[in-house]
Amino acid sequence: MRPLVGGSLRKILGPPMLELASRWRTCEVVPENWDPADRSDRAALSTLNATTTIQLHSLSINVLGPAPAVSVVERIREWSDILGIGLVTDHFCWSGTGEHALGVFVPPVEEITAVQKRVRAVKKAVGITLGLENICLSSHDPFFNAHYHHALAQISVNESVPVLLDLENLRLDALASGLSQDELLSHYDEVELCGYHVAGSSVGDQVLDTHDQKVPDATLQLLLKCYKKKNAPVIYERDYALDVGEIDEEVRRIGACIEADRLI
Amino acid sequence: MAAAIDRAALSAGPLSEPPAGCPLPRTTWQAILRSRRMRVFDWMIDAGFRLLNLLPQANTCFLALAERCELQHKYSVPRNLWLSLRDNIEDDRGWLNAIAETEILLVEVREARSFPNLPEGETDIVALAKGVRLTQLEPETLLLHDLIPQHSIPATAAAVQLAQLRQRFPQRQAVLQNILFVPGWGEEPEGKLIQIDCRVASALMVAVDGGLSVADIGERIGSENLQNLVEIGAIARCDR
Repeated sequence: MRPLVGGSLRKILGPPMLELASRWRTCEVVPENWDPADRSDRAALSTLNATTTIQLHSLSINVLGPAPAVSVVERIREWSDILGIGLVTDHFCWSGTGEHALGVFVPPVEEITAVQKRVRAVKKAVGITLGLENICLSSHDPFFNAHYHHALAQISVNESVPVLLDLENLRLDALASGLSQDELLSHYDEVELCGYHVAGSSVGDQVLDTHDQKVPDATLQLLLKCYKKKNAPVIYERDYALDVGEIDEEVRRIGACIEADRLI
Repeated sequence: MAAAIDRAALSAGPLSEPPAGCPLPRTTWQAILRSRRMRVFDWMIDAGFRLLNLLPQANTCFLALAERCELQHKYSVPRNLWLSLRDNIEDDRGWLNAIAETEILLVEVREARSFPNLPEGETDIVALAKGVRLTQLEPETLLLHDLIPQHSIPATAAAVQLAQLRQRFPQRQAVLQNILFVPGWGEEPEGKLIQIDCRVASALMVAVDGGLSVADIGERIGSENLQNLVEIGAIARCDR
């Protein structure tokens, strides 16, 4: 079976993006950016859903925050019903409190049991399968890195929550912390994966996932290695330096790499 | 911790050290602060300052600005950013500056204001409502603004699009026209920039200076214009 490879849908890129996404085998949609009450939004995603496999990927459930965002959860449920999709993913982190909507991803700092309790509550609130993605930690501290990945993997197993493995974030975590990629990857040996994220990052003073570049060879190699063990949908993330043509080329390149590797 | 992140990120200064007792590693803390600052940058573009998508190193300049100016009041950031950017940008006839001024107004006008104290009778003394102001822009810049991409594009494409934008500039200096700047309130939270004629502008200038009665304004600008100003909450009763 051909690999499910696609990209994240950027609404701001309009019809050319929708047309491109309709040719991918899969594509990722941020449910909170689309309004089910808006006829054009509904038509756009329903049409897309007829030709490709949509993955719902939220940015703002605030999984490890004080309480999941009610309006976001409602919207996820609406799109889940409309499109017949039973899985939504978000990040293993928190992004704000009632008074401070930071809008940025902050790794958990609580004890693992408390974090697990939060995941359980969100899973129940969402009402469909919840998947959790590793964020980029930008941390030079190997212990902090290892603990984060260990916590995500353990909670994934304990709560039957699959992981959306972001391989660019994992590569950057290894780069920043000095840990090997294999060591970080080993945390996920027993974990069910619901997808892979790949992206490219600009190099600067800080190790950051900037989502504005092509996928570097190191991340692509990591994808090929992981894909051999566990295949799952692959999504190319591009949030900045947007160009429909470049995104198209990159998704094709990733798909071709996986196909070629499978033939070896 | 959320409060500490907001405080550190939105205060002027270099990316700070984590506060005492913070369990996050230093580099993680600083990456979070940077991301929080960049949220303000992204917000400015979404709110209308699209020119930033075309200007080289705009995000780097923004991060440098954040080391000198606080970001707490996000509506004041675009003007400060433009002041720090414009000297390094070639703009011989002033059109980039004119576009930036318009786009900054588009951002500023989104700042919600309190419900204005609407006039009730002809003898009420009125002035511009709080947050409403008289300003100027070059109308052509609104058309040019529409040509600028709403999203981040690759640097090479940005350079090409900036060159194309320059070719669309009229072969004349920008000519500013009177605008009434009306921030959002109630059911129209996004606010409006309304072109006004000289008659309305001069009446409102008098109202700004010392207040005029509703009847006086009506006499100067006509009842239809007066009614429009009241409906959009541009004038408010002075409590004296």
